[in-house]
This record gives sequence, structure tokens and C-alpha cells, in this order.
Amino acid sequence: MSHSPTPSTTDTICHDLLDIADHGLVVLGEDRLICFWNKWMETHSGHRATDVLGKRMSEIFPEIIHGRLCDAMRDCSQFGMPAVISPSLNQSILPLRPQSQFAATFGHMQQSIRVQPLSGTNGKFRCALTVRDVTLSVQRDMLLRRQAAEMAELVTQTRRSEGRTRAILQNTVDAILVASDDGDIDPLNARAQELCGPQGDPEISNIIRFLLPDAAGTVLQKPSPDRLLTDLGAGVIEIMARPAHGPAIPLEVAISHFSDDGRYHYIITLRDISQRKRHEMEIQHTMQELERSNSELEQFAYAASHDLQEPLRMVSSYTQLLSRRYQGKLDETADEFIHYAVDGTRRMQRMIDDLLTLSRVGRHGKPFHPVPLEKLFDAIEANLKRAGEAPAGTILRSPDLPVVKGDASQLLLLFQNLVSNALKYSEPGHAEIRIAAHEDDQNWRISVTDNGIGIDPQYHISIFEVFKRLHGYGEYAGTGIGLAICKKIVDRHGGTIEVESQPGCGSTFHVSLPKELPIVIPSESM
Amino acid sequence: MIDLTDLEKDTITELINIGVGRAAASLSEMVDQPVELSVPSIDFIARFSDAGLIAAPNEVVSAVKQSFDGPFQGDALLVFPEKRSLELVRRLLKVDVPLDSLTDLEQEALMEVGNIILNACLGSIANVLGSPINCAMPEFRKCETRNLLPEETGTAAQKAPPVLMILHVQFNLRQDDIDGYVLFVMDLVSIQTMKELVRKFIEQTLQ
Amino acid sequence: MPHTRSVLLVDDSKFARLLVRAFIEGNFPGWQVDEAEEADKAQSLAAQTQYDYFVIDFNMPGMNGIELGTVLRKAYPAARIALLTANIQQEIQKTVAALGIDFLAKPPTQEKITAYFKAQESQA
Repeated sequence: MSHSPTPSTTDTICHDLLDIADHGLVVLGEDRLICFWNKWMETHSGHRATDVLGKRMSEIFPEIIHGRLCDAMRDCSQFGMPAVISPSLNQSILPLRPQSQFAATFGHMQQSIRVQPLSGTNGKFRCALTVRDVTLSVQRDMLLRRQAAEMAELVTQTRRSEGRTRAILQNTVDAILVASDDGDIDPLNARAQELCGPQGDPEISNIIRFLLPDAAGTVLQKPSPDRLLTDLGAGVIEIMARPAHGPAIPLEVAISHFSDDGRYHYIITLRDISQRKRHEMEIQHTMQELERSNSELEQFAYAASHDLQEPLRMVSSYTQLLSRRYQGKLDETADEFIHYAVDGTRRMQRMIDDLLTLSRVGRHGKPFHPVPLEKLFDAIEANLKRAGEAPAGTILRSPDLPVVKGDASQLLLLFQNLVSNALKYSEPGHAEIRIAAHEDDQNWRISVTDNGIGIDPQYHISIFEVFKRLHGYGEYAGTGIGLAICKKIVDRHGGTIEVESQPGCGSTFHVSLPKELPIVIPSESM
Repeated sequence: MIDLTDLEKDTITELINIGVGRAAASLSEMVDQPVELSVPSIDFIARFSDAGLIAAPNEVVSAVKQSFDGPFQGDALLVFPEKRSLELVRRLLKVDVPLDSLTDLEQEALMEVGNIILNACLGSIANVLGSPINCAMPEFRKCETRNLLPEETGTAAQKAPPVLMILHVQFNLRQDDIDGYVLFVMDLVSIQTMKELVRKFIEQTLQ
Repeated sequence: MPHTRSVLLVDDSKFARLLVRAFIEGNFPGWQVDEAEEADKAQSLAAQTQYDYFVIDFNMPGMNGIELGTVLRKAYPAARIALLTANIQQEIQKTVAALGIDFLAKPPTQEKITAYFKAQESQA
């Protein structure tokens, strides 16, 4: 294994030491032939000392010719120049086997080599090579760099997504603020800075502080009603911002929360609802206008019909007097004229009565109570019989008519009108009226079906308008107000009325009445 | 004190340039990319603090030092400002992921670069002058510029102060220049010996 | 030698110029050898004399050897141009060859310089 054994003990120790060294040790003689090759080199190169001694390095490792190591060995032998050969600048300098644990990653052992001159004779040098295994360091370095690269990538990604989040936040039209549990309120985006900053309305922060669920035990003054627009607990919070410049801005406040670092934070979103408020105001204003004009109309209709009654009664009384006193005493033409005058005043009386009724639907409504429809229709039939309009047996009722909610006298009027109409537009003697009721989740649907002359679909909507008669005065008695009254009553009850009909095939009027009363009953109209 | 003629100075510069040219070629082969290396100027100064190159005494530098011994003796140092040394090694190694400071392996690579350049400088002088120079293994040092030569401040009285030969070294890697310098720290006797050897060399060469 | 030739040496090192001059004058008596220490002077000299040879150093202040070589190659297509450098890496050798410039490794020696000129003359 080693060259020229000597009897000297010291030499033996030296050789043994070199053999147990944890480095590869090679010595080249002045002739640049290998003259020492330790055990480490045997193990890692697979070449035994006896096989390599007396040969050139390039014979053992042909791949190193023209490489840095060969140049370094030459410079060392010729000029005594030492050399450092690093693993980073020179990949796997000598083809040595890596330790088994690195074999999967590294084809060759990573080495750091020192080339050092040992003084020789005649200005020539021996050359010592020390080979260290640095595979572990190289692996660690690779690992470190991979981790650094991953970290850098992570940082880049985080930065990118942070940037995007920030851009979204900044460009959101709503103002977003964050409040921590110590009461600090920070604007998160540009709109929040603008709104709550010195040029905006710094008071907003105080209002928000008041709105937060746990204001850290401090007693806060309730904002004035012109700042806090809604009652607390109403679900929607609206406040009024009064910026230093420009008009006041109504804001809707939404508060959510999250936990971070063991602390509680609130996210406050302020949404500018100027537009919505403006619309609401407009609607409210229109509603008021409408109500006012409706009530004026009702007032007018009432006043007109009421005041008209007086002179009409006069005309009516005297024409009736004329009829009674002078019937058959004047000529035939006079009798005919008097008859027309009496008939005209009677019709006018009925119209004025109906107009009064119509105006009263809105003006004199009674509170809603449960109304059993069975009893209601009993009353209707009794009324009609008394008026001589309905022969018994022509009104067929379903057995299970419900109890609905409403104004009993108005509902009576409604259904009496419908039944009365049904009789009116049916062939006398053959009239058959069916009353039925159905229900769905929200409504009762009561239908009144006749086998009369029917209604052309083109009139299905207009028949509910005032003074819309489909027929001349001669054919069917009526004022043209009846269905308008029905419509108005149904409206007041939050329901709907519609007709289903074809000419000659009878008609069905459907009345839907809500089971529960709606919160807002649509504005009544004439 | 240092009375070299222009021709003597020029000759040393040329010899060293030949050396570093070779060093550039072998570096280029090792790192598989073009490396240009030149020594545009050489200056001799009596005191380190006189060197125009040492403008920032507190600047941290990386230095590779090789001591030499022979007909003349001293230390040769290749010095780069720390940032430039990082840059140099990383360009040579084509490092994609730079770490914050020189790793052990990068430090060893820098040591090898220093070794190649200093060997080239020393070798070309030794070769042409016909006298071998014994060189020690390179050592790596990282320190402030003013601490590069600690003996200058302390023991100046006992010993004759060393003479400095400063070579400006310019690396050109992928269009970028990385500047450093090589310091030869020698005593007066050594510098006179060198001058003598140079003079003889010129005489012989030009007959 | 059948002809006398003219050579311009461009090198910032005086020593290098002296050396190459000594080699040429020792082996090719009668040749005209001029010197320039940098590119500008080289160009103005070249404008006055029609040189047969240019021997140019690579590392010089100002224009480097390849840049100057490129300019001279264009201006004087008949002249032989050699780049003298210690930097013998493949990259530079290829660049130089592509320009039609010869390559001489530093340091200049008696044998190298003489062999180069002899080879050129025998071709001519």
C-alpha cells in the first residue's frame, strides 16, 4: 500500500497516520509520478496503491487531462506554485465515489483539493495533493439556495397578491375602516381617508365608536338624530356625514369583525347612499302628491255628489209631482216628456249615490275584522231578494266558504255588486251564479261565475274604470261605477280583482284577498 | 527609495499582464464564459495610506493573501470591496440565488480565483526572472481596508516600513467591470532585488 | 529575404515593443519597424505609411486590440494583422479568426515571432 517500508518506528507511525487520515493524500515525485497514495484514496477511487504507484495521475484519471488540476500540478512541480481547487469552480475534479448517502444526488464526490509543493532537488518540486470530501457542504449549500429561492418566490407571490388586495381595497367605492378593540379607528382605503380625514368629517370616527358593540366601557354620547339617522337595532344603520366642503352625505354603515393576533377587530364599511336616499325621497314625494290629489278628488266627488243631491232632489220632486198631477191631462207627447224627465232624474240619483259610495270607500273605511263569507252571501241574497233581482236557487255556493279579513260592509258591497252584475248580464230565468273559494299560501281567491253574455277580452281591464260602460243605457241598467267600486274595495284590502271571460260563454270574476294583511296598503285611487 | 526606470516599471507591468492574461484564459475555461483580466497600472508607494486606491479606510474588503519567499519576499494580496467580491464570485459561478454573504463554498471559490491570479503574477515574474519563488497556500481574510496591513501602524519603528507595489486589476465579465487590486507588500531589500533582476532581464532579452 | 517589409507594432508596453522589434530586426534585416503605444497613433501612422504587417496588443487603454484590428482590417485589406495577447481563450481566438486576424500568444519569444513572419513570407 505504501512505498518503501522502513524499519524506523517513527516512519511506521507516520505511514499509519497518513493511512487513517480523513483526507485523500497523494504525493507526486519530481518526475511527476505518483509516489504516495493513502488508504483513503484507495477506498474512494477504487485504485489500490500498488496499481497506481509509479504512474502519472492522468493515466489513472484520463478525464483530468487539460483540466485545472493538471495545470496546477504542473505549476507546482515546475515553479513550486501552490493551488486551491474549489468544488464550485471545478465540478467533480477527480472521479471519486461519493459516500453512499449522497450517491442518489451526486454522481461523484464533491472535492476541495490543495496542491502544495514539497521541496525537492535541482529546483524541482515534489507535489502533495490533499483531497477533502465536501459533498455534505455542497449539498447543504444547494439546500440553502433552494430554500432561499423558495422563500424569495414566496415573498414575490405574497407581495403580488398583497398588491392586488391593496389595489382592490383602494379602488373600492365604499369607505373601509378597521377598528381594534382599543378604540383606534384606521381608514383602510382612499375613500375612507377622504371621508373621515380632516377634509371630510372627523366626527364620523366618534359615531362609529358609538356604534361598535363594546366601546371599551367608556361612556359615549349618543350622536344627535341628525347624524344617526336610524334607530339602533333597526338592522340597517344610516348616518349622516357632514364634510368640511360639499353637501352632507348619507352613509349606510355595515360592521363585521375578525380576530387577529388574539385581538378583536371590526371592519366598518361606509356606503354612500345619497343616490338611494334621493330616490326614496322622490318616491315619498310622489306618494304624498298622489295621496293629496286622491284625497282632493275624493273630496271633490263627495262634495259634488253631495251638493248635487239638493238641486237634484228638487228636480226629482217636481218632475214626480208633474207626473202624478198631470199624467193623462196634457197630450200624449207631454206624458212622454214627463216620463223621460222622471227616468233621467232617477238615473242621475243612482249615479250620484254610487259616486258617493265610491268616494266613501277611501274616506270612510272601517277597521278590518274577520268576515265569514257564508253569512256575507246570506245577507247578499236577502238584499237581492228584497230588491226582487234574484230568484231563489240561481246562486250556487261552494259549501266551504272561508272567513276572510276585511271591512265587512265594503266586502258586502263588493260581492253584492259582482253577484248583481252577474244576474244583470244573464238571460233572465236561466241565470246561474256560482260562488267558489280556493286558497294558496298567501291568499284567498273567491270567484263569482255566471253563464251570462260574457265580456270581450279587450275590455277586461277597462271595465274596472269609472264610467266605463260597455253597453248603452237602454240594454242594461247601471251607472258604470259598480266595478270601479269593487276595484277600489279590493285595492283597499291589498288584494286583486280580475275577470276571465269570452263573449257568450259567461264570466268569472276572481277576487284575491290576502290572508294576512299587508303592512302597506296601496294608495287608494278612484 | 524606489528608483525604477520607466522601462523597468513597464517591463514588470508587461510581465504581470502576460501572467494575468493566462489566468483569465484558465478562469474562462473553468467557468465556461469569456473572462477578460488586465492590469492597466502599477504604482509603487512607501506608505499604504498614500495609495489613492485606499480611499475608504473603513470599507470592508475581501482579501486573498499569499506569502512568497525567494530572491525577494513578501505578501501578495488580491483585494476586492466585499460587494464586488460577492458579485465577482457569483458571476463566475453563475449563481441564480444569491445569499446574504459569502458562503464557505463561495469563499473557497474566491480563494481559488485569488490563487490563480496571484500565482500568475508571481509565476510570470519568477518565470521570466529565472528565479523560483516559494509561495504559501492562499489565505482568506475579510476586514476593513485599514486593517489589511496591521504591522504598518504598530511596529513601524522596529522594522523598515514595507514598500507596496499596487496593481490595479480589472475583471470584465459579461460586459461588466469588476475592479479590485493586487498589493505586493515587500521590504526594501526585496524590492531592490527585484529591480536588479528586472534590470538584468531587460539586458539579457534585448542584448 | 526577397523583399523588405514594413511592420507597425501597437502595444502600450514599451518593453513588449522593444522585444518584438529586437526579434524582427535580428531575423529580418532591413525591415522597417514602427511603434505606436495606442490606437489613435497607430491609425495616424497607418495613414502615412502602407504597412505590410500590424502586430497589435490586446489590452490597451482606449480602443482594445480587437477594435483596432477591426478598423485596420477594413481600411487595409491587403495588410497582415496579428493580435498579440496572453489571453488565449477560445472566445477571443474565434472572434479574431472571424475578422481575418492572426493570433499570437504572449509572451513573444524569438522562435514564435520569427516563425510567424517566415510562414507569412513563404505564403506571399
